[in-house]
Amino acid sequence: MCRLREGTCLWVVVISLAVVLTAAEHRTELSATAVRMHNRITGVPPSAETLTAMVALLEKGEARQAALLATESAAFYNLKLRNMFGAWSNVAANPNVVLNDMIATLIGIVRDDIPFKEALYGDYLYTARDDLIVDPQQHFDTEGQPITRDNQSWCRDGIFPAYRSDSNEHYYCLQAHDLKTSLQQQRQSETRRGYWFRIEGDTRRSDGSGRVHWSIVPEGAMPAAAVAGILSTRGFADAYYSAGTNRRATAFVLKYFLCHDLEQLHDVTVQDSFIRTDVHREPGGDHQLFKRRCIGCHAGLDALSGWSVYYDFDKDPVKFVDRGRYLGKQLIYRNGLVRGKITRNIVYAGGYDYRKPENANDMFRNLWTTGPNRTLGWRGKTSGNGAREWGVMITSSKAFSSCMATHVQRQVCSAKVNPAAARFTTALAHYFESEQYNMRKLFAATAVSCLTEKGGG
Amino acid sequence: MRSLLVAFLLVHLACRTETENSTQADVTAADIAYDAIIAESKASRSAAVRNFREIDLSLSMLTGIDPSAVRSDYRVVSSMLPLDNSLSSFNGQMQVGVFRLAGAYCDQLINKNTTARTAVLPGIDFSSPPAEALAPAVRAEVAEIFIDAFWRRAASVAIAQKDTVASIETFIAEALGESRGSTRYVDAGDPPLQSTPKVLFGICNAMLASAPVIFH
Repeated sequence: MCRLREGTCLWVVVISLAVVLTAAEHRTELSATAVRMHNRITGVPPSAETLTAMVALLEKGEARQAALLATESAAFYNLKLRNMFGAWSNVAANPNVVLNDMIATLIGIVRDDIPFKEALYGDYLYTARDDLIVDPQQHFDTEGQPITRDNQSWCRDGIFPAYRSDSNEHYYCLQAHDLKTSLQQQRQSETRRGYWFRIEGDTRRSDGSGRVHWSIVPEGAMPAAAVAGILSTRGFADAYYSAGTNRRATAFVLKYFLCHDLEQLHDVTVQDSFIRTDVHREPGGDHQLFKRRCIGCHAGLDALSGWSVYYDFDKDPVKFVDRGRYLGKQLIYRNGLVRGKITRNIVYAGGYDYRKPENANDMFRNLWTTGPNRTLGWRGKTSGNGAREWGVMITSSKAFSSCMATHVQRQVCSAKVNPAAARFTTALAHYFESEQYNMRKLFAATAVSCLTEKGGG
Repeated sequence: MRSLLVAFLLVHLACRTETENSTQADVTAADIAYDAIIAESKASRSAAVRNFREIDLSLSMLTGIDPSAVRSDYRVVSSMLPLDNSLSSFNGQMQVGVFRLAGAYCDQLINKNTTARTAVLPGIDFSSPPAEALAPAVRAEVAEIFIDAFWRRAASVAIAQKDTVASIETFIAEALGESRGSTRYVDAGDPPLQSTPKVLFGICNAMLASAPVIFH
């Protein structure tokens, strides 16, 4: 055929070569795109098999599927999500922290495609798979005495303690495992929180002879009224209910789940009738300072923080009264009992006083539904009782969806979210909601839109 | 012939319309929302650096060395590694930390774990003397093997292949004392390396601690 018309033959060869070269170049570009997507979604390069599969999907124009494939990598859970949620789990926002039940639960919710809004109110707790647990009874010696060791030695000696509400040893050991495959979903309201020790007798004498006799008493699950996603986990309690007045817990949620620091929510027009008794009305002798500055945060924050007044993080005094003891601090919740730390400081007796019977409950009110903070897009109930209803209110807001989109954008695109990108963030937030708050899909869509040249797929 | 072509076009158009109709019927709110994202996707991405955990696992994946083999080294340098992905917070101390950790992985790969070495760097002769294993004729090939193993899997951008190969060839020549006159990578006062693994360790360490691996 080529012999018939040499000119035609030459063109066929040239065009064929161009097609082959263009295809090769296109494939190289797709490969770089796949590596880029995997790098940003998981934090590490893809394996050869994953890269091949992602490139094949990109060739078919299925960029979203390629990105979703990257979210199935173990590194997405062990690195990307652990870093992201690890920073949320402490006041210093340090991602280099030991795994705890709060981080594990957030990772598990993403892995199981549970609507992410349930992170603040769902009845979930993620622990290690049962088959990983190794002889939890070795917490005690042959006489029932608790063995106290540092975290590392538990895991090094092949012991993998069961979940306990008064210790993080379980998660210390779990962090050495692949979180994608090692996490097991449980219900906080059904998970036994460990056990505590009851002193049966004490025969210790001054010469050192004798000993304390213990019995081990199983501890029940978290009371159903207390269950509210990560808000009722030990990790959260350790970081945000420890000491203080629990306002820190509210401020944390506003910061990480609505992406607003208190300073951004400052509004002096809100009524101040819910500001607690521990806030001075004349700081430095200047009442105007209170009116101009303090009210701006406290009026809204204190009214909003009522949900947390039954929570604390400490050794449980009730168990001490009963002559038992825990090994360590734990989340404490007593339904109907406002914690002492909330009512302890009275610097202004006319403030909102939780000691009064009519105030001694966990009711919260959202006073930011009018004024500048209405832009957070509150939807549904804006007052209620307890952490669960509060979590529902927070995650029903438009700001929650936008905030999650912003977090993911930072993780995947590494872009500083600025006003110019606001429309992109809004579009991501809409998508997040339309996909039932699926975090993996949000990661995938974000990756496609900012890491591929044309999006699509 | 012309009628055949017209028939083909009609069939094609009919099929296309049918496909479009069925696609329209299947469109969900999520699809519409997704299209909106793509429409706004001029959004920005900027370069990022891998953080401490990501660097550790990336080096492990690229070398095939289990992280537990370099745990003691990791503990020493982990506080020097980046905490987050922010490029603006990357500093010289972090680069030193990355270099030391990369050195630990390369030590395992080049000197201790022959199984990983064979799998990750196939075709490189580690047992022969440099004059043979790193002869000028095979240097480009050695460079290609390293690029394939470390950069092509990790880099988010296209790699300047020719320049990289040339740089590695120059490094090998200088390490073996062949071209010290125009030395770029090896101190002129250093004695020539007599061992093939030592030269390859240098290439490994430089490439693993480089921008294509730690930035993405």
